Amino acid sequence: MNNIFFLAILNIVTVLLFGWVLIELYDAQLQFVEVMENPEPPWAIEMNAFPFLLLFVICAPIYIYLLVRTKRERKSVWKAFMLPMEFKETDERERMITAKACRGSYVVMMFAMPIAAGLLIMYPTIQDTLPYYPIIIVILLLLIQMISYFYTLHKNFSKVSGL
Amino acid sequence: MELQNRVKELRARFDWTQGSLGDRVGVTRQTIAAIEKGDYTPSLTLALKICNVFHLKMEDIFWLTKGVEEDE
Repeated sequence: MNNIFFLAILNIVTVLLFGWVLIELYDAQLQFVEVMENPEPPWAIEMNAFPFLLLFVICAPIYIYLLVRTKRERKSVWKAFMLPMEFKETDERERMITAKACRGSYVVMMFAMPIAAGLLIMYPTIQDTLPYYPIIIVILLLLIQMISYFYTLHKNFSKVSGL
Repeated sequence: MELQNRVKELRARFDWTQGSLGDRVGVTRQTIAAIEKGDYTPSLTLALKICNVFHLKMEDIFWLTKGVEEDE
């Protein structure tokens, strides 16, 4: 149970940091476009390295540790790498709980996706103030998917816990 | 209809822990605990495996009683 909570927090933090990294890269890309338009030196591209550092220093070691542990549980490198760590599939009860969580997440996404697509319509109006708006929307979608998955997983684990 | 079982009683008679029964039938300790509490209805395969390790018939371990079934 604690493992699920820890994974949920780790995933959310990683996605937020990944979003921050993407925003920094997008900002650098905008600067690069300006350089391309006016290639006369001197020119420079500035980027905040803090989110990169956070992502690689905090999240990467934890993920490597969890991958090694998951590999031991799943007895396959392929399954450990390709399947999300939050998929609990040790036996039929866990597979059922995972299936219910996937179902819950799918239902939430079915509503969240059209809303997100609708929100993108606003992009031209806020393009100047928030140029990385689409990145925020995609990251939000990822967060909604994860939170709904973990919420359903937690609910079902509590219900069919056997504890 | 509600599924009742005698898994806890039989496990005690055989002096097995939830973990050891789980190992014998290929599930986790938590799944055995959930079956004993009636929180989880095992699949037919798992129920048959449980019958097999206790050397008993299905109806000696699992039976249905009238009750409110909670789905979802």
